[in-house]
Amino acid sequence: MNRPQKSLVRLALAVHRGLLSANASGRCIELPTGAWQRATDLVARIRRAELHGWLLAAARLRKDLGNVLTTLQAPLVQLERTLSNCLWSPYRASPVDLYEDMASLDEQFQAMSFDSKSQQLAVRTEPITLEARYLGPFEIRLDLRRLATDGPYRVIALDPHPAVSRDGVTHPHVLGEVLCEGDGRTAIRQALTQGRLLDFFQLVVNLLRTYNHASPFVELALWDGESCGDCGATVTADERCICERCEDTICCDCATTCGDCEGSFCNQCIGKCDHCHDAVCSRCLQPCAGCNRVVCSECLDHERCPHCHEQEEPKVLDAPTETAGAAIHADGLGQVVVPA
Amino acid sequence: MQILVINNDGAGFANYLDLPHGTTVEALFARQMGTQAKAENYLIRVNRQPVSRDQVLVEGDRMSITPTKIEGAR
Repeated sequence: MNRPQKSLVRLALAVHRGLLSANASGRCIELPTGAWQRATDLVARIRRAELHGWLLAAARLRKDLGNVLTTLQAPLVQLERTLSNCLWSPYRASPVDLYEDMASLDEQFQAMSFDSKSQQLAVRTEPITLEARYLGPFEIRLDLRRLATDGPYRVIALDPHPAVSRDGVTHPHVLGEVLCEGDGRTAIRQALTQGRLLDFFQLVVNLLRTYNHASPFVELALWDGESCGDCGATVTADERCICERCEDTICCDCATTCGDCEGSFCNQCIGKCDHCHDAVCSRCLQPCAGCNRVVCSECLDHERCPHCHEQEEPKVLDAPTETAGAAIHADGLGQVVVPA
Repeated sequence: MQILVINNDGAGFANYLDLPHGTTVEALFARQMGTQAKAENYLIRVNRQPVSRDQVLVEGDRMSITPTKIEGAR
């Protein structure tokens, strides 16, 4: 995109004013307030889920909380290291540096634009493909008014091909237009603080071009969704259940609740009480000591099923018959004649 | 001579260094990144332009080193 030099100069001056304002608001030292807020929200949601007995939802939220806590640790550790190692740099971009950065951005990226009303500077990447998975081009939009905040930029999918299971994940490391910066976080923050815009955009683009197998929101191998282990249908995140015995993914329609423990199980791991025919998981089914049929806890009583209990009920005894001439057995004699 | 060195690996570092005249891009890269680092894993720019490794740096140059692979997370 060819841009008249004059407008780039004005742009550079506008960005420089934004940077001065951001630095004046004390952005030099930044605490992960965004991640802390996310953790606080998750804790509230976990409490709510537990209160309502939504155990699976609570378990998933606890897992999300663990991930957020990890993102909290890294910047705090890095900040401590930076302060203690005196890595702090006095360098700040001048308007000339900014002008040259933006001239380079214009050359190196597909499109660069600046919205003076919203004070947003944006560049477009080439179409991103990771492991043969087409994700489309992205726009990196930097809000100059929010440079002092935790989330001054967004990553917007221009031709979204999101994960089937989570439509907010348009890239393995982008959720809801927020890039999880991982290893690049501190360098990105430093670049923004110092006004090195070319470096900032280059860092974000390099992050988008890299797939971290160990820590995506959705793995590329599962980008087209997971299949229900029972019926084979594609399962979205909302419909997804996990069998509590084999941990296989199943859809909500195929998940069966055990009548004893109330857990969710797949067709392979759920059984049936031989007496009342209720659905009961294999852990809760117990063998009857009398007939070895498997029954639920409701039907098992003193290790016997109802059928065996019926079989063991004591019979009513017959009335004694008269025997003529039989002598009453005298205590101590030991013998008595009994007619045939 | 003074060179602005920007190292975008890890924490990110931008500062002016005093270097002897005749320092090449390759020599400064090795000094910043260590001899084990491979140049092909980095985007190396002088004054925002790609350069050859044997280019000699001059007073006031701006050299940046940015890893090409940076791992995000979730």
